[in-house]
Amino acid sequence: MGRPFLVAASAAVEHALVGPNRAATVVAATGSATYLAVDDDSSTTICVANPTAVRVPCALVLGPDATAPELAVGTVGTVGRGLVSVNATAYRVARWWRPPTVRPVVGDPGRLRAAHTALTGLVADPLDAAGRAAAGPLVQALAIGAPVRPAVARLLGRGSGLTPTGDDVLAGALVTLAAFAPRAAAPLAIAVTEAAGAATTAVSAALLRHAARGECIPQLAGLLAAVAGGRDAGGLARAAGALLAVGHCSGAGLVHGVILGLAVASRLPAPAGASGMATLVGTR
Amino acid sequence: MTTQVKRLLAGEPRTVTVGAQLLADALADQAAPHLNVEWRPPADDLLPALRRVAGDPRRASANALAAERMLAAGAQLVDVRRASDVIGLERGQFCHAGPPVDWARASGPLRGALIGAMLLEGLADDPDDAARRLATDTGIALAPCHDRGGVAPMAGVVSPSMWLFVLRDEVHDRTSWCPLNEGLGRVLRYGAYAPDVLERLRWMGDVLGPALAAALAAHGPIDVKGLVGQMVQMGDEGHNRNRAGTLMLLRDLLPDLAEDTARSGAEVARVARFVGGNDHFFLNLVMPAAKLQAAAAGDIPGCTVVTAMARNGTEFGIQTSGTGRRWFTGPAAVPEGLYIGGYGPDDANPDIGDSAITETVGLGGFAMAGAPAIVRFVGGTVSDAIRTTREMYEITVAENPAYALPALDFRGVPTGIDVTAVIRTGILPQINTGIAGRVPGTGQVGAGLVQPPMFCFVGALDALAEAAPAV
Amino acid sequence: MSARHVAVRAGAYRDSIRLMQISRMVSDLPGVSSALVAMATELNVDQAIQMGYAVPPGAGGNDLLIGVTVDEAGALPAVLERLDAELSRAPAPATTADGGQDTAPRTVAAAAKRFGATLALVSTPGRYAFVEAMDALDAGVSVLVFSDNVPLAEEVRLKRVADERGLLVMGPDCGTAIIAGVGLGFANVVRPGPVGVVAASGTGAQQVMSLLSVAGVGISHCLGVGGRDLSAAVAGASALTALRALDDDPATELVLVVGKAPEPAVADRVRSETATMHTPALIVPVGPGQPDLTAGVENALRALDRAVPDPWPRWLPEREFSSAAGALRGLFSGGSLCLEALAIAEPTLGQVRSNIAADPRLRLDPSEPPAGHAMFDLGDDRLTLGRPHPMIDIGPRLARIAAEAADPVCRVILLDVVLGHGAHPDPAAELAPAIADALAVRNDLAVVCSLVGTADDPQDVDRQAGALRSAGAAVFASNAEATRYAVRLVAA
Repeated sequence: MGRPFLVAASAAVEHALVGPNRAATVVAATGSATYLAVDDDSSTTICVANPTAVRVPCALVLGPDATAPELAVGTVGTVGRGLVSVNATAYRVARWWRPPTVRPVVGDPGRLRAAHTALTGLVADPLDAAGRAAAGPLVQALAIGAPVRPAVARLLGRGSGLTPTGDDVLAGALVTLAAFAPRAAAPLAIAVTEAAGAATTAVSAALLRHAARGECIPQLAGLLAAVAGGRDAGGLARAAGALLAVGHCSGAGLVHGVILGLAVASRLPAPAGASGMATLVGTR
Repeated sequence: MTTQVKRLLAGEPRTVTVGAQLLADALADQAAPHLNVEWRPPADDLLPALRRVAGDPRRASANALAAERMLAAGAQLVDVRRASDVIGLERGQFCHAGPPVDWARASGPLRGALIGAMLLEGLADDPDDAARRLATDTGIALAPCHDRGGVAPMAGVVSPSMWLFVLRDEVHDRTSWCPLNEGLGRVLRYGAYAPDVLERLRWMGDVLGPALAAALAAHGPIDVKGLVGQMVQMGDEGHNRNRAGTLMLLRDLLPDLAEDTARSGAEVARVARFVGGNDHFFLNLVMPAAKLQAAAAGDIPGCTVVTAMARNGTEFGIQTSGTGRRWFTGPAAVPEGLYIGGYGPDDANPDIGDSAITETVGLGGFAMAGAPAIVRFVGGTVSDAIRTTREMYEITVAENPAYALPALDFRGVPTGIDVTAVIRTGILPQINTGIAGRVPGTGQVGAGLVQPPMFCFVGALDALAEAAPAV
Repeated sequence: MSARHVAVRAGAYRDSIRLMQISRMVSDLPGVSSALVAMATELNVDQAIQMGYAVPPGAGGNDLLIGVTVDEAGALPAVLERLDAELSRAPAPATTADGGQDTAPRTVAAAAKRFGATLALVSTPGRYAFVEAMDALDAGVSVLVFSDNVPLAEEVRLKRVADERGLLVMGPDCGTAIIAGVGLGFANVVRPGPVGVVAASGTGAQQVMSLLSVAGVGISHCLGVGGRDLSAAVAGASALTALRALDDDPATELVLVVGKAPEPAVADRVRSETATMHTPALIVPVGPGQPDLTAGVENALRALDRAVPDPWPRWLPEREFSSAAGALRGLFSGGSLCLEALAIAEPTLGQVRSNIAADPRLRLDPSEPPAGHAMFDLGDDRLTLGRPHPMIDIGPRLARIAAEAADPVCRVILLDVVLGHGAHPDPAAELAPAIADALAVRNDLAVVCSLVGTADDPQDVDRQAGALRSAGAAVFASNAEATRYAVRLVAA
């Protein structure tokens, strides 16, 4: 085995990386990222990513000049003790990073509504007709505290690709609610994490689990920070533009999820006890 | 106050490293994004002045303001008139290119052009008489074009009866000017003064100037900045190649020329033929547009951006924003390049002309990446041209999106030379230029590349250091 | 209520392909019913008129023509914002005609601009560092000055400018920093966690963070400020900025200030700053009359309600050392570790001579042969001019170990071994044979090591400890414990 590739590892998958050696299977590979499902209790998925790839919360980011070999789906390797080994390739943790994690803040309802309006004008609804038919009832159910499982079931796995559009929308909504409507976020998080494993791709299910914990990609955190900070239409457009540039249509799905989340949050009364516009996005 | 620090802590740092390689390697070992500077220590004798200028707290905002003004400056061709009207040039007064110079120190081409201008203005009977008067007459006065807010190529001699393009920057309420281009070969600006040269100048004064003035009046102001933006996407760098710019100007003015009932068809045809047949006609519009841009950045205390580069055939001179109208000069070098016909380096005069104002604002040698067609003319390959432009980004403070280079993925031209960056990197501005014959009356002998002497920048640095507060 | 917007902009030429892309992008925005972004050529003006736009007279082929129709007037500002963003968007510096790489950047500012840098790390020789650091500040990025031998006036100027611009200057002579897990200079690999460190002492901070790692506590950031920051002249300029930044940082739950005890006036400023912070802060001072770094870490753990490891990791050799009267000789690579050892040893041993002794009468240059107890900071500025730091180059210490072993008065050699990025890739590989040789010659000699490192360090702390222990050295994770152990051996 050659010299290991040095990677910056997400602390969100620390337990799997520093734990005992476990089997891990390549479940997906794009040009810039390889996903491995670890055989552990929490179905951890890790992503070995080029520095230019979207920085998902489970990413092990390669150095700027590294070109890692492509790995075929189905290849089995090991993960543990700070090392990922697949065939003749090894990745060693050289440092740790913490993915952006939203925490609950009180979103001024006026700001949330203004952001909802501004963002609605910026992106076409990426869902298909059936997805759209599920989105409305989902917002309704979250707003009044009704069961969300039926709507979630219709959105999970809807669309094609590594992260189907329906999942992107749910992920955007989950993180937005975690920030602005934590009480509505909880039932959605439970419904999504319960059903995701069976209803969508392994990668998408893993990313939804991160979203349920408020962990997200930097571009989504940036948009939510712009919303919380009461940025004007231009500021929101710039932040949304950065998110829209993510993936083929993942960004559009996430922005649409944010719009749904804002629709829910701007109707809900502010949770008692919290006050002020605290810092929204943490790195832990 | 600490928003920048907050941003630093918000995510993993993107680090620029300078100095010990070991520390850059340590970042590589952490898969951390970093970029290493190819640093070399500045000369120790320049270090005290450099430290003082670098430590000037005004410098960053001053340079940013200079960049902002350079990019914001407009350039509209608003008028074509005689020099006597535009700048009040009187009989016996002549403007010339570059920093101040007198007859005694003037080079061959400048002397030749002055002789020609004396003859044109009827101030001398013959060339010998003109030379004698220029050397001795107290009624003759020479001044740099730059001192009067204008620019002129090569010898740059302007006399009262010559017609000037008049350009306006409405953003900064400033006017600039440049004479009409005479064409290639044996021409006054290269120091030629034979009868055919003077005959052409008289025709330009009698026919070309008035025809252009009338056509422009009918057409309305022409947005030269917009044309320059287009020409750099059509293979012109605006100094040694101006073909696309010239044709676009003709495209804009020809209908109005043709509709001018005061002129015969033959006259219009001759004007159109003259303009269209002279690939450099538009240079004399790029230059005053550049002068407007550079002047917009002028007179900002603490600013280390170069606002003029100009040569009189004897000396190369630069001005900086922070030091106003003071010239920092050094001996002009002989350009390296290709020669016409039987001419060679021995026939060449040292670097001459105000046309380096184009490089001062990111055109010419700085925009070589946009002019692949002429790279061999100035001795090089397309890769050399692209490398040259890339290198110029190292010594400039801004990129001008109005002048975008397709070959660099529409990156804006490198704009605004920073004296301290030249001193620190040792990279000198790259200038594309024509080469004038050494002997008065010869004309153009070639074209090539030249750099200003480092001495100019050292002088500017010392003056900027004197004006900066001590650390 | 639909709305139309028409504008003509002079001097804003873009090529037609780019403009077609932009038109398409704007047309595709929801709520936009039509859009035309084009140069105002006759053809385009005709098209605009056909599309119903009232094009102002006088627009020509060199002007940019913009026409947008939206379904709701309220959507217009956001659409125009997107349009402007697209028009001014800098092209990605990826593909170019020569397919080649950018030339290497030659200045910090050029590199920072090109790279979108947030930080500059300056490690040129000291006399050049000011120009490079100012260049970084002028480019709007914070800077870590690793270089030493930078004049004090330049440090003051840098920090004043940084303060005015909301930037941070770490250093000069800042050996250690960690930002969001990325180590700069000499830095151990730490996990993300709740403790933020303001470090006026590099190796002191490394000791603190390594011990926290042992206790399972991670680090948010470690901001080095340079050894002179807490002096009266600099007045804690960077420390105060760092404190505010860590107070603002949502990841930081406890702030530690590590360094020599500040001048009283500066200490007051630091205290009044920490008093106003929302995040609790503890001072972990180094030097005479102060609790040691290990005690500071224990305080921090108690403040975080975390268990204090008891004992701290130690790796004792099979052969036990016998205590006997004699001299203790400390050979340190870390200045603060040397200072801490001096502070611990002096109350028991009395006079200990050192090149960094506060009392001039006790000062001793490392080149002079010591008579009694002595401790040397071999990484001191004056000794590293033109030479690599002893954390990188072990050679001089190897020679020194042999020399001490040859001195019959010397009974205990005390060493520090600092791991992490930037340090020697395998210090034990060089030190262990030298220690074994020394102990083979002298069966009455003891070698005691403090080992500053974490489990994730590239050198592997356990392997380093094992090798040093196998060579016969007593190894401690805590420099204070190592020093006390060494002192006990000679104080008997």
